[in-house]
Parts: sequence; C-alpha cells; structure tokens
Amino acid sequence: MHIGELISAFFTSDGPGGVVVITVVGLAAGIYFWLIRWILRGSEPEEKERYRFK
Amino acid sequence: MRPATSYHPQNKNEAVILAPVRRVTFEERWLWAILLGLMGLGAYAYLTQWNSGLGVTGLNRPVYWGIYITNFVFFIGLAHSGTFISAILRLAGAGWRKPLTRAAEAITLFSLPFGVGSILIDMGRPDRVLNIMFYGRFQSPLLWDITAVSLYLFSSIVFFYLSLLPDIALCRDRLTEAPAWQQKMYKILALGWMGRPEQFERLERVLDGMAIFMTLLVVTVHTVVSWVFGMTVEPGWHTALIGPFFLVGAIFSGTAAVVIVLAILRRVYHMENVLPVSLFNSLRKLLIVFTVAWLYMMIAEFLTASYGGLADEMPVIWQKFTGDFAGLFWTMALAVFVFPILIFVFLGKDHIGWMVTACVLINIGMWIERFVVIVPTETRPRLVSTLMEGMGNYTPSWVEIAITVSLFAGLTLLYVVFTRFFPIVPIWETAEETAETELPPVEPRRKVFGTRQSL
Repeated sequence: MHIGELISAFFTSDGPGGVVVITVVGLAAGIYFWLIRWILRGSEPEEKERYRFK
Repeated sequence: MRPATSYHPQNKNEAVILAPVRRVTFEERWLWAILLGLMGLGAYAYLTQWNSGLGVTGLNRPVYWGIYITNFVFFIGLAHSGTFISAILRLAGAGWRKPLTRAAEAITLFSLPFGVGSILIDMGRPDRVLNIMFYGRFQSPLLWDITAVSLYLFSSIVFFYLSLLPDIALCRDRLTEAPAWQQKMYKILALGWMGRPEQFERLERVLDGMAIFMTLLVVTVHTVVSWVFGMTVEPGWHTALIGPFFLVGAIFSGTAAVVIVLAILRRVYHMENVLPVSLFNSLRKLLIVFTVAWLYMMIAEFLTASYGGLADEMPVIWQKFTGDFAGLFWTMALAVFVFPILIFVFLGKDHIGWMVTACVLINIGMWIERFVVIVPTETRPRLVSTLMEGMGNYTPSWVEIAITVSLFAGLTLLYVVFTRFFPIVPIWETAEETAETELPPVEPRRKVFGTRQSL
C-alpha cells in the first residue's frame, strides 16, 4: 500500500478515538512514573527506609 | 553526630510562607462557606438543567455554544498562566519568577478541571462524552481536543507535584503540631523525599526537561482548542490566525490572573518581603508586550477578514462593530487594551493597586472577548438563509449564569483550600542556601522504620 494511502486511511477510517487518548496519556503516565522513581532513587538506601510505611 | 534527617534549604522567609498553613482565620472559614454556598447554587442550577434539559438555558438553534463554551475557552486560557510563568520563564532563565511559580501553577491546575467540566455541562447528555472514546473518529478536532487537554491536565499535575515535593517534605518535618491525618497526608505525599543533593539535582533536571515539553503543550493545547472553531467553515472562525490569536489571549489573561492572585496573597498573608514590588514590575513589562501582541492579532484578524468584504464574513463583523454585540465588543476593546496599556505605561510602575485594576479589567475583557468570538458567528452562520423567524438570538438564562458563578467560586475555593494545606510560595526554590552548600551528616544505618521520633 502506498504510504499516502496508509496515512489517509488512518485519518478517514472510523474510531475508536479512545485508543489515541489512552495511548498518549498512558505513555505519559509510564514516563512520569519512571521519572519520579528516578528522582527519588537519589537518596541513600538507609534513609529511604526511615520514611517507609509499616 | 547529628542524626540523619531530611534536608531542607534554609529560607529566611519560611515562617511567613508557612503561616497560612499553620492556622485558619475566622475570615477564611467565612470565605469557604460563601464559596461553598455559591457552588451549591450552581449545583442546584445544574440539577434543574439535568432534569429539564437544555431548554432551561438560553441555548437554541443555531446558538448551540453560549457562555458554557465561553467558560471552557476562558478557563483553558487561564490555565496557561502556570505553564508560562513556570516553564517558559524557567527555560528563559528568569530568576525573578521563582516566588510566583507555585501561585501560577496552582491556577493552571485548578482552572483545567473547570474548563473540561464546562464542556460536560454544555452537553444535554453528558454520559455521551464516552461516545468519543468508543466511536470518536481520528479526523475529529474534538478528539484532538480531548487528547491534548487530557495530556495537559495530567502533565500539569505531575509538573506541579514535582516542584511541590521538597516543600511537602518540609511540611512533613516542620508541621508537627498539625492534626495526625494532615501529618500522614504529608508523609504519604512526600514519597520519602530526603532532600539529598542528588535528589535536588535530578529534580531540577526533570523539571527543566518537562519545562520544554510543557511549553510545547501550551502551544498545542490552545491551538487545538481554537481548531474546534477554526476547522468549521463558519465566518469569523475559519481563519488560520485563530490558533495564535487564542494562544496570545490565553497567556495574556493567565498572566494577568497571576498578578491578581499574587496581590491578594501578598496583602492577606503579609508576604511583602516574599513577593516584592519588583516582581510586579517584571510582570508589568511582560503584560505590556502581551497587550500590544493582542492588539496586533486583533487588527490582523479583522483587517484580513473585512478587506475582502466577503458576503459571509461581513454580517458577523458588523454585528461586532455596530450591531447587537457592539456594546460588548467595544467594552472588551477598552478593558483589554485601552485602559490596561495606559495603566501599565503611566501608573502601574511600583503601584500594585493599579496593576491589579488593569489585570481585573483584562480578565473581564478577555472573558467578553471569548463570548464575542463565539456567539456572533452562531447568530449569523454561513447558512444564514436557514434561519427562521425568531432564530439567531441568544440571552443566557439564570441557570447558565448561576453555573458560571459557581465555576468561578469553585476555582477560588480550590485555591483557598490549597493555600491552607501547602505553601503557596516555593520555599526550596526561593531559599538562599541550596542543598550543595550544606550537607547533613548521616548516621549509621539503624532499624527504625516508619517513625521519626529520633529525628
């Protein structure tokens, strides 16, 4: 299939549009979750334990 | 050796910034009650609409979008203040922005839900919003709108939360007199933040990276919002300029809203040292640029549309200049451009009262501007011949007005409640001493879990 037709098919076919919303927001959620974990890993292991919940 | 503890950069204004969190005044409780009352009025109005349908509003054929959609565009625009102040000025390296970042970001965070909510309120059957998830077509601007606004809301929450994280940890450690549930809330939200230099370094790096992304989102979101109008072939809307026009207006009204909020915080919480007059002078310069940019957009828009004298465009333009909407249009021109530019240039320097006056005018004017963009086109649509006797008029009903008032009350209430529980000025960002200047000694590992008695 011609690449132009493929792109055209993407935009002219029916939904579900929710796939776009869920993909974009879900991808962002994954990236943000990883970034927050990466920031918090900056503390010493024994210090993290001090604030851990029982 | 001093026991290991979470590190917080020294800030000489810490007590002043934390004061609103430590106690709630009698006046504040009254304010909460009044705002809740207004929200209750809005809830009653919405229940009336829910039970009786959109017939209780002034909406009619072909004016399907009235002040609900005006509110939608206005709130989304207001929401750009935080990202502009925090992200764009962060990228520009403007150090003066630091005391006002959180106040601005909070406007973003609390405006967006009301913007999104305005669309749901505008729908006769709000449950059908799910149709766009299940059956939405990829070429629909409404689908792009939902995608962009959802991502913006989600990213704004994360951006806001990350910059708040060190201060939540500070509340966790300092506000030991707070109720147990409040302390537990700080403890959960702080995610075990210790304030180590490496954490601060990573946080700054992530915030810098997110600032670039958020800047792109600001442009995307408001452009896509404008395309909900621009992608139709209606006169007054179908113009390539509508994207940048909406964007400039959004940043303009958002920045003006920040000035109003800062002035109130400064006065009510005695933050004269934290929010100095020089801060307002810096914002004044920005606002002068935005005022002129907005005028440029207005002239470009109307000159281009009217020069060709197109049959569809002219009735809408004359409606605004001399017709039914002339009063609103010229009030808007005075409130958004004429008075503010005179105030900013001649009176605003070193005078917060005049700055607030101008910014209140700008926000009233920008709300009217959204109304004047939306409604005149609907009353004189392209297929004007399809209008029958009595069509083409719009007057908001009490239901719409009550719901609009309640939305603004809700925004204010969220803001006030947030100020009660979290520092509205970033303590760590405005600290004189950074994490690199003094490191807390760390004691050897001990088996003390879930307690801070030894700290």
